[in-house]
Amino acid sequence: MSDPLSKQATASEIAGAVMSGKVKAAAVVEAALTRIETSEARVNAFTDVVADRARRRAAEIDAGLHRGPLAGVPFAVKNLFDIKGLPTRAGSKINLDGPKAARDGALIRKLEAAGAILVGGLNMGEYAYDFTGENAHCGPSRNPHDPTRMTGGSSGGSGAAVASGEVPLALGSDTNGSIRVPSSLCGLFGLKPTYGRLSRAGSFPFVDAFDHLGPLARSVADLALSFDAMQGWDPDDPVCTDRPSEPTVPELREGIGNLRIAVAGDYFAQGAEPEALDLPDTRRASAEPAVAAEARAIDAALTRRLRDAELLRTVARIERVVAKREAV
Amino acid sequence: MAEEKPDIARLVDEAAKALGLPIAPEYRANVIVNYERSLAIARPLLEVELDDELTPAPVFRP
Repeated sequence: MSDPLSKQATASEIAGAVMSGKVKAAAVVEAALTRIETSEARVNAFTDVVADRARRRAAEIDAGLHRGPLAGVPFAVKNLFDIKGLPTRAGSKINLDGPKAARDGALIRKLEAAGAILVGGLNMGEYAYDFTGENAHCGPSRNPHDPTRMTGGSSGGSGAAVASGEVPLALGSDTNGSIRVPSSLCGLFGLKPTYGRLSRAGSFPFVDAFDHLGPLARSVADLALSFDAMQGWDPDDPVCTDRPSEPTVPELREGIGNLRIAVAGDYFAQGAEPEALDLPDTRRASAEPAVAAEARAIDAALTRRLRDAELLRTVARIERVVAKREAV
Repeated sequence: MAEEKPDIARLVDEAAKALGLPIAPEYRANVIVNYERSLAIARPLLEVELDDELTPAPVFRP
């Protein structure tokens, strides 16, 4: 169990400490703001810090309002999420002249309803068309494990903020890998949920048909905790599923014995390091050879072409976004 | 039919005119490279046979 005021503290540990009265949300927020101040020169994760708002929110929680499973957990969001009162940058320079958001994005509202506290907006590749976390206007986000290296992108600031310990939880978006890449490069856990599972209302879209929003954290339990808080139908996102929420926190204790796991082979196995392929527990659970075999057959025929189609739709979309904005 | 190499630079210049979106001289070369790469990606994709009856399924229902 980490000290809830330390940079190692997970969201679950902080929420537990705040709910049981061991620590004040105000102290947690101050500790996070101090870490942001001292780490930024090294990792360049934040583009906006909303300190006043975060302090107000913490005071409300300490006054007994907004208690929830994420009570007092500081978090930050990739700057393509709407933050009330700020222009939604989406990593660009030209959006800064755009309108200020009238309200927070849907997932920020859901996390705050569960007691979490927004502390700021995070650096990202311009319009999310990026795998490196390097932003031409705000500078690159740097990998906290070695600041001479990239965070990966496009949710680069999300990776840097969580891996450096500035915050235990960040939101990112994933169109072609933008949660998965920085999670991997920064040594974090990231979740790209099923398409339509989490509302994208109040976020700047990239390629609508591929856009997913999701959390990055330092523990799987934190992913589950935040994911559960964010689930639920939202009429403001037309593709958001109306299926009932499927809470994941209770599943964490179930183990993987009853799961069917397909191992993607072919293209996905190329260049894999031995430790990625040597997962004995996973192998035992994946068992059903028919599933794995089927997956391999599909990969061999279509994976590469599907990737091509995805890339082309992405290129077409980014050209449309930039053309529209430049023409204004 | 022998494949004639398309003039990507001209495509870019004409598209920029059609859109009313001037491309700064320092960006033009990279825009052309981007189009050339997209074309290289598209070629094998266009060779994949798809039935006319196929319809998109944006929502997966198990």
